[in-house]
Amino acid sequence: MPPDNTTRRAVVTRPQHPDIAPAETPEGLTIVLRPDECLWDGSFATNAWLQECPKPLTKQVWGNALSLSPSDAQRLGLTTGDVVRIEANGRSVTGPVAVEAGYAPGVIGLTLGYGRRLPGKIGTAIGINAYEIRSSHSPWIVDDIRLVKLDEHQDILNTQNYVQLAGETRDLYPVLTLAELSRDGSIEHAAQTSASLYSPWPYESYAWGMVIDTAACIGCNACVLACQAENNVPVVGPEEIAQGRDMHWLRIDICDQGTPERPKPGFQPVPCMHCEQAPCEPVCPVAASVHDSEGLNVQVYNRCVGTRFCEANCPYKVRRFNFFAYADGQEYANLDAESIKAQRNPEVTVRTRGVMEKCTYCIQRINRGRRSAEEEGRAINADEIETACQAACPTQAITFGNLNDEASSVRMAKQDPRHYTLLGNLGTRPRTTYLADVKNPNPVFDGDAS
Amino acid sequence: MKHPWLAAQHIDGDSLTAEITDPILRHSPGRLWWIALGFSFFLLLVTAAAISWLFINGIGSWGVNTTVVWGYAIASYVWWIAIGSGGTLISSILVLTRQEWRRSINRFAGSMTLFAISIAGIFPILHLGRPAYFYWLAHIPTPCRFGHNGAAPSYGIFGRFSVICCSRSYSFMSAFFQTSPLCVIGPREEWDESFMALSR
Repeated sequence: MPPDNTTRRAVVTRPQHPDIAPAETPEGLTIVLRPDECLWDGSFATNAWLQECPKPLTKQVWGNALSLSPSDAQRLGLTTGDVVRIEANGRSVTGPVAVEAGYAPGVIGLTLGYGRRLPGKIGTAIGINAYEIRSSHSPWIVDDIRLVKLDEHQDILNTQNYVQLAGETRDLYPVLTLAELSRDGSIEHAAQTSASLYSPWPYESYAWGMVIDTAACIGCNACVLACQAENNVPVVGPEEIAQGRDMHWLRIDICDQGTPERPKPGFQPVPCMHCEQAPCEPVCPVAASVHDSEGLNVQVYNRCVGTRFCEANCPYKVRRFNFFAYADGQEYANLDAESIKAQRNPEVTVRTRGVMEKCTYCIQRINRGRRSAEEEGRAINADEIETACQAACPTQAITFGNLNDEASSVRMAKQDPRHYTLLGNLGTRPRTTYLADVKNPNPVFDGDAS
Repeated sequence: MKHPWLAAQHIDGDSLTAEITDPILRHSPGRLWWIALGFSFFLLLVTAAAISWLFINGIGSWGVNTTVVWGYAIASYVWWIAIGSGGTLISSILVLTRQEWRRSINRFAGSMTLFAISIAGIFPILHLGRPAYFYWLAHIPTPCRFGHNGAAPSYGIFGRFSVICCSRSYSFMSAFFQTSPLCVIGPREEWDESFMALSR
């Protein structure tokens, strides 16, 4: 039959969803092996920072898991934490399963790099050794596996429970479409300008502030580790993580507005907000949590007696408490090396047991900039100070600077129509604010439009 | 017609003292009492061991975490404060309703208040990250501090002191007339010896 030219032209000019029938669900299960987000092929298994670095989507730390889709989990009668044995070609691995949104049915995901036998105190016998099921014939995909459910349960350690906050995610993590952005501009936030009985703090010299662009954030954790390295943030180990006591000053929250079948996660880095009306400040009986003359909400370690009132009062839950001497005498597995002590940043205090700590906006970097500015007899330049998280961010999602300086990038970022404050309705007036995520969905594609 | 107080039968000092002190001094505690005391002492030792472990091992011994920062210690504090308040409430209700038989209950309720408040007092200290510096909560000027936060609710440290002082005074006033004869007569020689030893 000769081709119909008119029809063909219509197809070319109007993009449509390619008419491909969905692939049939295979009967058996298939394991897909991939390098780990933190340990890669296992060569970083001895690095405690990377072991405790939350994986971008699952937030799992200190281990890996057999990831599978919610539908498979339902079919096989599995829930997160159930231990299974997987057999294929005479080989087998045993480990807990993790039900993860967005996984294709019939596929089990497993990352390499865990379960090493002799890496030292840090990485030994943690997680599932994926190499045990890997063969040279098929290094990345293992077909026709047999899954045996064992009568065991093993908790998956993670730093954020992947839950959907019904109706709240949209406030915590607004997503604009390009059309909405070009139409009117700003996000509705009536609460941002809520009245306060307190008089505003005066800032005569500098007023530090931060803006984080959630559209640019790719959730790579570079900021988390940069902060850990810069600020002598200790590793706490799997037992303490299981207790819910992670110490990262900066965390990346996952905000999902999708469905279990089609998740739409967004990344939101959350450091200390350095609130203008900080709920942590008035409750400290020993004045360890105070507001400084440049807008920073500072924590005075040697005043702190550890009442944890500030942490209880912080709506952002960014304060971290030394329940043990994580950095100073009760380290997890001695962090495998005495040499860790020589690696510390000498400009940052190592916190003792029983003391609260949190993001300082890298106050040591601010002071370093101040010293060099004073030596040269000038003010600190507009974008001279760079926080550790900002310096490490590969997509430049973090902007930091002096809000009193009209030329600073952070001030310009605060004028952005996508600008919003996290939990702004609480009246805390955070200095760390956000730029909303932007999507440009194609309405023709099924499910792409939000 | 005389006032009932004046019309009352005259009791001489010796028999009055005997009536007050006999139940305590003549009635020796039974075997069950010693067993109960021993068990209580054992529990005290367990508490001492637990507190020692808490101080040595650290505040992480409590099961609290970043999200739930206060747990057993603060719950116990509130619990025992309430028990103490209950003691005061019992006394006050009996006074307000003019119950003539209240005196024996008062003593018991007053003691309950005192001990409960004392127990409550240790929990905020035990829950601190650095319990060695608990006295900083009392807004005492310390070498490494420039001041204190007057706006902060300081765990009701002043409130607790007030309760302890008032309850102590109340119990003391009522117990005074019973305990003073005990001090004066000292019917057992070995008690005399030990009290004298303490007073030296």
